[in-house]
Amino acid sequence: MVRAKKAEKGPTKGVEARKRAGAWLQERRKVAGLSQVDLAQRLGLKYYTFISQVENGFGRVPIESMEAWARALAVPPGEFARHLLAFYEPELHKLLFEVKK
Amino acid sequence: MNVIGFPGREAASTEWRADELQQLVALVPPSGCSWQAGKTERGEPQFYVLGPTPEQDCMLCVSRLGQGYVLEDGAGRLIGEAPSLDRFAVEAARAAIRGGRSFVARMLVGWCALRLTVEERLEPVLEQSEEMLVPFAPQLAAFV
Repeated sequence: MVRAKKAEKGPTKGVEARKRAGAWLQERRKVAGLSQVDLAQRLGLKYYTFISQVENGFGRVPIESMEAWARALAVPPGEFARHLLAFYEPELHKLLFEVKK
Repeated sequence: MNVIGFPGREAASTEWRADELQQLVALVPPSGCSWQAGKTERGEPQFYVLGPTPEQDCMLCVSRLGQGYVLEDGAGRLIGEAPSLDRFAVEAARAAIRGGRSFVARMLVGWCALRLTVEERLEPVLEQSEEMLVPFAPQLAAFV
């Protein structure tokens, strides 16, 4: 049977940005004095594995739970969403917040 | 006298075992998908099924927590949980059918279930047929 490959080294731009987003989220969590388990509890998750998935740069914070993440990490929700948008959708972030009229 | 230190139970549990990894890699659809391994803050191993490049979004994530396994999609939705990887695809398929999971996740779980079924049921049959052919190998070779 044909086996799937392990993802090669040298991540693409999008993957790299997601990794940076994960590192930023991890930093914010540590500043808030929370473990991955603590954060999962605050978000009402059954397992804390998703926190790890996001912090390792493989998953994204879903839009519908951004506010809950922001409040759990004690970051103003608007600022939190804007910061993550810069990683997840850099072109859109540029259009919304960087391009001058 | 030098004493060779065996890795402790905790150290051993932070990595995927070779047999687990083999089972997990077999579950990844070969068309455009890839995988990566990682771990949680506590050291539990995670296995990520990634979508096609360039985005390589996480489509499924398998984590080993204690004695069991947890399956989530890339948005953190719990798809299944099972005590062993053998039962994992069946449990995951049931969970995906019960809940209104994303189409991609359901497709992947279906693929996982199919792969496990093929490996569990078809491969022993093929191995048996090969064993049955072994005694006739010299005669068959004579025909070639």
